[in-house]
This record gives sequence, structure tokens and C-alpha cells, in this order.
Amino acid sequence: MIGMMREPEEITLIEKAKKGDEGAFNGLFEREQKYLYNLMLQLTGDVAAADDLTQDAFVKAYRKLSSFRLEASFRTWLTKIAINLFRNEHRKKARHNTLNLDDYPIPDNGDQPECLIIRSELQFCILHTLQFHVSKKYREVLVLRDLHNMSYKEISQILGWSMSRTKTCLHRARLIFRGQFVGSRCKAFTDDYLCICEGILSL
Amino acid sequence: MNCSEAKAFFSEHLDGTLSKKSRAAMRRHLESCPNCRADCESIMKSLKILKKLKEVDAPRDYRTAASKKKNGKR
Repeated sequence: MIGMMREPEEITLIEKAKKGDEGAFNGLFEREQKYLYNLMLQLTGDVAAADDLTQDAFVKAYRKLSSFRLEASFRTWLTKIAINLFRNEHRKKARHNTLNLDDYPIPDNGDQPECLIIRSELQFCILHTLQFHVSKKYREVLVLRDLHNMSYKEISQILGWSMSRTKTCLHRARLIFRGQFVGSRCKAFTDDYLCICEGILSL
Repeated sequence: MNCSEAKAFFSEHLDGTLSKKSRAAMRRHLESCPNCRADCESIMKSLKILKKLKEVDAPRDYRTAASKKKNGKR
């Protein structure tokens, strides 16, 4: 995880990329593409939208890199670009997605089939809750903090919020997630999971 | 620290970002208040579940696509 601390290697890559070094661009993008695609997938719940947004964010980053002043890490800067694209897309299309379990690829860890099914359903249930029960504002802060370990400061920079608003919204987002995950129709599923000796957590 | 103050700081408590003084006050409150303790634990449990969302591989290599688009190639 690349945090606020910029690694010397990253600074070197950015400086080279700004001078037009294709290899340096590739190096920077390679480190971030899996992260960015997952972030967009978690925010949109839609594989096609996540794919489009990830590509658009990289194209925009490619074009704007010369204006990047290293005031934040490359990841923070790139995430800010991607989140703005996500917000614009959300405003334009107001997508009403229906999540499809088959569309969401589950990493194959060589599980037994029954474990794979439970794990797959859990992924679906979490995405469902994020997508349909947590509003965009709260989803953004929750995903950045709890799925990508961004610091409060990084989140403030990315979302353009004060530190105090970030903390308040994160807390609210967690309460909403808990309330919806436990209180929504996912409750039975959660209860099942928790009563298998928290088997869910070891999958 | 009372219950409403404690509730406002649950997130920071779980993230370990409270000051030393607030952390000690929170610990004392949670030890003496079963309702807040249960509330805080349930948030922690739901976050533990959220974090079970696995990362997937990106479906393609975006470096080439970005480079082509940037250079105006189709």
C-alpha cells in the first residue's frame, strides 16, 4: 500500500514520466491498475463502468502528469482524478445497476466448492450493501478508508473535505454500513455467517 | 467521557487515531458501559466483514490503452 510517504522510486518514476519516458509511465501505471480498477468496481458495482472509469482515469493522468506537483502521492493524485470521473459519471447517468453475481469475479483460492459459493455470496452481499444501501458520499469515504487503508489526510485530499468532515462522514458511513448490512435483507445471511463460528471471517 | 461523547469517537477509537488522553478516557468508558461496548464491537464486526471483500484482477492492461488514447491512436 502506498501511503502519503512517497517512495524515492516513485518520485524518480514521476520525474522521468514527466519528461516523456514511456517506461516510467508504464512503471507508475502498473503499480496502480489493480488498485484503481478495484476501487472503481467497489464504487460502481459494475464491471463495465469500472473498466471505463479506470481507463479514463489513466488517460487523464497520462495527459495531466506534467501538472502534477508532487504535493501528494501518485496514488492520491490518481485517485482524485478517478473519483471526479466517477462523480461526473454518476451525475450524468444516475445508473440503476442490478448487480449480477456472475459478473463479479471471485479470486480462485483453490477453495472447496461450498466455500467458494459462500465466499462468492458474501462478496455479492457486501457489494449489494455498498451499492444500494450506502449513498455515494458515504460509499466513497468508507471504501477509501476501510478497503484501501487510506489515511484521514489522504481521504481529505482526495474528496476535497476538511479533516473534521472526513472523520464525521467516515463515522456516519460505518454506522450506515453496519445498520444496512445487519438490518437489511442481508441480515439472515450475516446471521448465518456469524453463527458458523464466524466462519465467514476465515474464508 | 459520557455515552454520546464515546459514540462520536468510536471510529477514531477503532482506527487507533485518538490522542493518548482520549484513548484512556474511551477505554475507561467502554469498561464501565456495556451498551457502548456492544455498540462499538458491532461496528468493529461489521467492518471486519466489509474487509472480506476481495480484490480481483484488473480485466486488462490499462497502460497500453491509456498510451494509445493519449497519442490519439484507436
